Amino acid sequence: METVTHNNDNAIFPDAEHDYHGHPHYTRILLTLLALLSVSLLVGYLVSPGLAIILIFGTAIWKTALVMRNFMHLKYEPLLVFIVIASVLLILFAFFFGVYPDITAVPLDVTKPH
Amino acid sequence: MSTKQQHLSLPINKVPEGRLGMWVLIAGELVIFGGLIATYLQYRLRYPQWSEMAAHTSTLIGAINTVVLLCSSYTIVRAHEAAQHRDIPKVLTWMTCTIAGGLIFLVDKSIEYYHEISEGFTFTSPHLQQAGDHVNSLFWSFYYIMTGLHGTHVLVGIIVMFIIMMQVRKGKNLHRVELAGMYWHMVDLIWIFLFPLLYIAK
Repeated sequence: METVTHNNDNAIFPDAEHDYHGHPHYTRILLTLLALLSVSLLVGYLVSPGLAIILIFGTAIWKTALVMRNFMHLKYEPLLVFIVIASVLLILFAFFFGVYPDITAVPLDVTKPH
Repeated sequence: MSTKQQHLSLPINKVPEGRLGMWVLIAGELVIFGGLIATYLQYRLRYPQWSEMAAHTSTLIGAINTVVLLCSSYTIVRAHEAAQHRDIPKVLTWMTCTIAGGLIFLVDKSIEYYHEISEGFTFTSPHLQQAGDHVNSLFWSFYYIMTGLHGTHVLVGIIVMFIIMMQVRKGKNLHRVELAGMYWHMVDLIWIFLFPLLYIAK
C-alpha cells in the first residue's frame, strides 16, 4: 500500500518514491486530445449535421474522460471520489429535466420579433 | 491486487486532504457551469435560430484557444510530475509555460470580444432588443455569461499559479502545484464543452 509523507508545512505530500498515484504517458494523451479536436473540427464539413453533432459531442465526452482520468488522475482515486463526481452529474441530469417545462412552456409568439 | 484496485478500495480519509478539497471545489464548479450549459442546450434546442447568432463567433479563435488550453493542461501536469521529483527549475519552467498559455487564451478572447462588440453583439445587444428580437439577444447574454465566467476562472488560475510559483521558487509548498493543476484541468474541461456549443455547432 502507498505511503505518504509530510512536508515542512504539514500538508500531506506524496514523495517521489512512494507516489500517491502514477504518471501516465502525458505526451501520448496530449496528442490523442489534439487528434480528437481535429476530428471535431472536420466532421462538420464531412458528414450530415445530425451525425456531426453526435460525433462532436462524443469527442468532447471522450476528451473529458481522458483529461479527468489521466491529467487529474481520477483513475487512481478511491470509489468515494467517483461517487462525489457522479452525484454532481445526477444533480445536473435532474436539473435539465427540472427546467425543461419552464423553457418549453413559453409560447414562441411572446419572444418572436414583431 | 493491481494499483488501480488498491486505490478504488481506499477509504476517503486516505486521499491527501488537498486533493479531496479540490475534488469538492471541482464538484461545485461543475454544478455552476453544468447548470448554465444545460439551460443553454434547452434554449438552443427550442430556438434553432440561435445557430445564426453562433455563426458570428470565430471558430478559428475558438480552436486556437482550445489547443492552447489543452497544451497548458499538459504543461501543468508536467510541472506536477517535476514537483514530485523536487526538480524546482523544471517546475518553474513548466508553470511559466502554463501561465503563458493562460495569457494567450485571455488575449485571444479579448480580440474576439472586441470584434463581437464592434458588430453590436453585447451582453444586452440593444439593436436586437429594439427590433424585438429577444430570443437572439438572449443568445449573447448566455455567450457572455458562460465565456466571461470561464475567462474569470482562467484569470484566477493564472494569479494562483503565479503565487504558487513564487513559493516554489523558495522551495516551499511543492504539493500545491498538483492542486493548481487540478483547478487548471477543470478550466480546460469546461472549455472542452463550451467550444462545440458556442463555436462548432452552427
